Amino acid sequence: MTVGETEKELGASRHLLQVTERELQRLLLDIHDGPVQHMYAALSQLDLLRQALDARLPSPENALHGRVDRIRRLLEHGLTDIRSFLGALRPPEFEGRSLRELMEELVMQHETDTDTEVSFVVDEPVPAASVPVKIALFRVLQEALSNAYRHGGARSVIVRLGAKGGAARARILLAVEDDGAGFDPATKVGDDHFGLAGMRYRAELVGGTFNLRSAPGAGTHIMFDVPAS
Amino acid sequence: MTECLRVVLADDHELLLEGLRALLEAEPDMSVVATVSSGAQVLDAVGRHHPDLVVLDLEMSGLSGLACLKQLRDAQLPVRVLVLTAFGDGASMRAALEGGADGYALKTESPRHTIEVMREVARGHLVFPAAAKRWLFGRPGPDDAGQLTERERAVLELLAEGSTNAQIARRMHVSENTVKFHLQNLFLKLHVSNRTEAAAYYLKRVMTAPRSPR
Repeated sequence: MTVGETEKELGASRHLLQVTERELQRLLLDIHDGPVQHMYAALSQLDLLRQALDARLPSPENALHGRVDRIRRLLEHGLTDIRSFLGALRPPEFEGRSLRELMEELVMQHETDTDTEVSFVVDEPVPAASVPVKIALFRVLQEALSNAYRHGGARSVIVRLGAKGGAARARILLAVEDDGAGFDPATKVGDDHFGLAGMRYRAELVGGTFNLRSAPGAGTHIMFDVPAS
Repeated sequence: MTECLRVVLADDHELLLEGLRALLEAEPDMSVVATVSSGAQVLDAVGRHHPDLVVLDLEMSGLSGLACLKQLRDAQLPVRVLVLTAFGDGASMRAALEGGADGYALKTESPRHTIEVMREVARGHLVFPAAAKRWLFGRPGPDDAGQLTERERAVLELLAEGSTNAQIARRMHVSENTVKFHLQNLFLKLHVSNRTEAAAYYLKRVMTAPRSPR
């Protein structure tokens, strides 16, 4: 493959990343405008029904009370499912935000959703990143944080953002380290239990590399090295 | 009888407005004075009805919730604002907090939860996820647990002089939300639950502090 062909392929990959995020945004807005509003409104009506029942049939043992409460719990579970779905997939405004802001906001959201704390260390200056690079790094950090929380049982998670190289050939480095359970990469990569193939794929789509170090009991260290633009 | 909380609801989803309004009307301490279904009507409704609280959707068509928030703050209308949205992402939380909202509630929580948050906000609390506040106002260093930061001491001093949050914000060139955030940390560190107790703590410390030689 010639240099020109490689460049062309990389350009197409980057375009694909942006199109995917736009489609996702449209889909999530539909969920926002449809099911979320309906379920929230249904819960309001159900609370009113429960109040009316309390006024007319005061016995807490009444089967109707139990049934209303059961419907309420089902709807609340439905909303919780949607919340994790929206939280995990909603694309931020990539164009107008710096990589640092995007990462900060992602860490903030992760901390809120999981009630944990993450150390975020930025080694400035971080060069301006192109939109496809921002998308790729945002999604891989999201996956890495989610892994550390869901699979690793980590007490400490550190995210480091930095750069190397001169202005013309600047590269962005992103590392995620946790002190969780760790795993044997030789056994996990195959079944892609941790979305590792996805992380590698996203890094490669923007011409970067993905490295992983982990062992049972020794935590996990993930590193991305991608060109800034 | 407790004083009634006067509320304006702003959301472009009619079903949601209808449900939440009916639920609030059934609460003894709340009264919905207006509902509006577009961002362009918010400022007018607040100016006309003087509510205590506006419940504001972020994703309204036309003028967005954040643009409405800016209008309300620019006009310096004395109204508390609770953002009610389906999205709990960091960017939305940050924008709401920086824009001067007093609270943030999710439509993916129950309406009963929204009502609890409305009461909290009406009591003057800044109701945002702890992580959002930590990120925006800085994290305490590992050594300063229990110790007041310089900013917190400055807030405490002004509070003890009898300044309101708005006056403290102006004097310190920060937003009212920043003042509220410092106050909440102050209260925690001093083990007090309100401004009066915090001021009393400060005055007691000043009165009993050894005088510096002149």
